[in-house]
Amino acid sequence: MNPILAVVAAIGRFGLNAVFHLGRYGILTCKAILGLFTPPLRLRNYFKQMESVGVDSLFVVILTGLFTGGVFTLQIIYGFSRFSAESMVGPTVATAMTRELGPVLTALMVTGRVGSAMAAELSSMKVSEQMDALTVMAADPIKYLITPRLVAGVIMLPLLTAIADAVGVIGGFFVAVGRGLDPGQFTGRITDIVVMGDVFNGLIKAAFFGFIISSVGCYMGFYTQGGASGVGRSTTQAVVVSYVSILVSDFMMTAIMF
Amino acid sequence: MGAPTIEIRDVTKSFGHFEVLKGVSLDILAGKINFIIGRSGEGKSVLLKILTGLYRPDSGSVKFGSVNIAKAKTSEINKLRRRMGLLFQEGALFDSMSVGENVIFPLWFHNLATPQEAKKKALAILGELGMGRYFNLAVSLLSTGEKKRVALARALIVDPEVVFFDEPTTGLDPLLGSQVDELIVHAQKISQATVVVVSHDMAATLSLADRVTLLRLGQVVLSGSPDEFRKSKDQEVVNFLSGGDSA
Repeated sequence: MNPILAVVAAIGRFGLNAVFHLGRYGILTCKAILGLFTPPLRLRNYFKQMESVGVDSLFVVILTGLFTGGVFTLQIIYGFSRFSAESMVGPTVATAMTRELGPVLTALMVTGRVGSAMAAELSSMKVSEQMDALTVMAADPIKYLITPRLVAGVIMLPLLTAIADAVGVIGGFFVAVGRGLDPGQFTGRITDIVVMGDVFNGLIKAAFFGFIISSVGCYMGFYTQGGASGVGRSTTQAVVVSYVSILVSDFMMTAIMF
Repeated sequence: MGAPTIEIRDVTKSFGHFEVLKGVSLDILAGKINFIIGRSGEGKSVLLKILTGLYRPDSGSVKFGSVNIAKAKTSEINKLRRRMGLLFQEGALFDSMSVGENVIFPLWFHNLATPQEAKKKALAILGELGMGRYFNLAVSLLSTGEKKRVALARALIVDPEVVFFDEPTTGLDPLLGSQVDELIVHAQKISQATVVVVSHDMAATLSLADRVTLLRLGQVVLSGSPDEFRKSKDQEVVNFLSGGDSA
């Protein structure tokens, strides 16, 4: 084949593939959302997923928030002190944590822990016919497996992010005080500079990231093909696609919100 | 409501350019043990998935009572599914649940019993299958034969009118194979259900079946009683019974 035609064909195939996956992803997530409005709800299943996404991620999110706030403070305290702007260290850390670092880093950590697990669990259920078993028992696998995971992602990510934000500021506080900053200097202007909108918009971002993590993980798992290698492939794809989607959507939401 | 006869007429199914079923017609006898046999890749499992509504045929009809599964809405098929049980080849038990939770699942999901009633019923069925003491055990700790028993308990707990078995003895040693044969008879006795078994185990077929259907290259070669199979002069049937290859 003519090399130019081959390139055009490859681009065309990529485009068709992208449209196919986006369409199928859209249909799957719509069905999962509709599952919320059709009985029976089986709340036990929702709480189980919330525990898996939220409570089980708490430790890693606290660690991430603590060290992120700490290292960020270490970086800026030196620069700010050169301009005698030490009183801006606290507000800067708080703004960065609530607007960007809290939501994004929490989402990336939860993707690695939960998004991959969702893809792996669903894909192994798919290849071992457990999803067919659900279908034959008249239990819609989308409603039973995906809807609770979506809800858990959307509810728990903002909560985890709020904790990461708070822990990050606390971590920054201890580092700043350890570096000789007066505690009052660190906290004094936080409430002047950081407004509720910063916190609120950061939590909206987190809810959207939670939706991305759950929906992408479930999509990759639900449409797995092949045996064990398919499970591995789906898990990797879920993490990569979620990471990229989180970073791209973060940029777009930041441009719109702030 | 009595156990229905399933009427399969002119069913075709293709995957891409590969035609798996080429106009299959047969009747599943109500309240009897029906075997669908054939070599690997002849379309038996595809036919089973069509009978349970997991696949839609390209053409033809599958009448479960008055409902044509081939054309019915998902909600109608789901109503039928509450009257079915399916034992998957590998059991397809939910490995995140215990034995008891697996068995109770259909009752729990569809609100068909209180937790106490469901547990009582699950223990009774597991007991009949020799698995009562494993109620709280994780399914990952069970052997293959035990998993099949638990999967059968899960299929039977809704008192199905039709129970499907997908190649139940594949990969099992002869002793486990004979245990599964007992399960098939047991399933029919417990629920007086119509039993449909997809298999290539000739010994089990001829000893257990009330009706046998042989599939070859996506078509029905012969459908009849085990005696009719033994007496048949059809070369395909003779070759299959003797384990030879007619290709």
